[in-house]
Amino acid sequence: MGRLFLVNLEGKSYSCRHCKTSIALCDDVVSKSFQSRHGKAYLFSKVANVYAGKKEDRMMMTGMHTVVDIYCVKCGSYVGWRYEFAFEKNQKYKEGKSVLERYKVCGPDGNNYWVAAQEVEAGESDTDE
Amino acid sequence: MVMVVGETSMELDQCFQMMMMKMEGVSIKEWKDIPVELLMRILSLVDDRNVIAASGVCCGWRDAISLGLTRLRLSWCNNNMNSLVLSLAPKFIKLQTLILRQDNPQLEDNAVEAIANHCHELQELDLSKSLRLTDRSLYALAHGCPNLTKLNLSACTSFSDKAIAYLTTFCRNLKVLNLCGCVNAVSDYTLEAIGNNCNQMQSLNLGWCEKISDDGVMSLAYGCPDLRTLDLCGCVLITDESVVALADWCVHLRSLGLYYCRNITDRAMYSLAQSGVKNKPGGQWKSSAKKSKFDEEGLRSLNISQCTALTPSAVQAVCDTFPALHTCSGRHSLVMSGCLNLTSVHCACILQAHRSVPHSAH
Repeated sequence: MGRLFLVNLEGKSYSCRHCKTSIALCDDVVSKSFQSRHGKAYLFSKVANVYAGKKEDRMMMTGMHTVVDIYCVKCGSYVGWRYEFAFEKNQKYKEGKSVLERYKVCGPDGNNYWVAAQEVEAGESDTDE
Repeated sequence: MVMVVGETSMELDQCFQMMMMKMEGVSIKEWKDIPVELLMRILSLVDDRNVIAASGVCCGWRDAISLGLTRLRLSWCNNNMNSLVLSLAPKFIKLQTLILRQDNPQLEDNAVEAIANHCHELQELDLSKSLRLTDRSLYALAHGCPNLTKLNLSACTSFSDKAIAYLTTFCRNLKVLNLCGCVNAVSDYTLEAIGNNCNQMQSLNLGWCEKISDDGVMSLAYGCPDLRTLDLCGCVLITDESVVALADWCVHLRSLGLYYCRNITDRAMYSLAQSGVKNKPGGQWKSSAKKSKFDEEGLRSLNISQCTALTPSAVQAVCDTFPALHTCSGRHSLVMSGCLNLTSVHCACILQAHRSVPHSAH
């Protein structure tokens, strides 16, 4: 599709681990207590420079959700998922927000998250605070 | 003006002597006597901190710089920009361009009021990232600087739409207005005000102003026929109606940004293509000079990244209508990032490359 359009984020931001494209601002973190198959994940109200895959229904620890996987626009690597629809009322707050896996992004200082040797083998799950 | 020591001081004096010899009939005895034009010429080569320092050297230079300084940039200031502006505004009353973009927000309303009270000839003002300013500044600017043509208010999140609308009723000569990120300040009410009052508007940046809808953009298109650059990045409520209105009314449109306007469909693309065809000069007897002028008309840059509802045929139609839109590397101006189904859209150059060289251009 030719040249990429990247949104420049000013301020402290999380970037894609592989290609260093900034993806989300630190100010937009909603929750840090989410879990994915690779460990920690953060819930963001807004992310940039990602594109979405196909809609899927997934059963998570907090119930059934419709999610789309999101990928970095520059390198195409998977970075997390976005909630499109939550079946349960008390999970509605997640709709429209995105989760970025901590393992797939590097922090605002450039530091990375290293997954412990024994990974959680359960399916993707997320918990609330 | 002895700011250097030793040998350099001697060199300066020698330069001064040589200069005096070349200027006959003018009684110049010391540095403080050099003509205003020469002083301003020298100061145009040094950075702004030194210009401010020079204005404090002696009365002659202070008056010369106050009358001659038209351009000033204070973005290097990290801590005291507010007090600096308060002290400089009454001195530099002939300023036409003032750049006050800050890395950390320092500027407050009283400084902008000081500017508005003294610098009535201001044409270009950059107040981007001034997070601490409130509507008071805009009201002051409306009354004090009616000659504004370029105004940058991006990332100033504390303004309201009423204040910006008020500003437009006084600053009718605005040509370039940057409201990127001013979420609360830009609503359909603001756009109607701009369309009513600022009919010379050429470049408007409404990035991330997610409240605006088709009504606002349509009144903008109707009121600003000279619009050349419009950025609607992140304005998620925009639909095809806006693009159709722009295609109909803004014949000089050169650059359009629709990043993340996910409601945009092929209808918008076809309306752009049709407007491009409609505005072509008719007749086959146009001279080659006029033909090259036409190549500069029409869209030069279009950003439809993440507009995933578009199909290749519609976008290709736009690409074919506007010869200045390119997908080839080096002149890339049709940006379709994130639209995975548009990989087959190419500008004419790529096809030529295919024909001449037997390998793929990408």
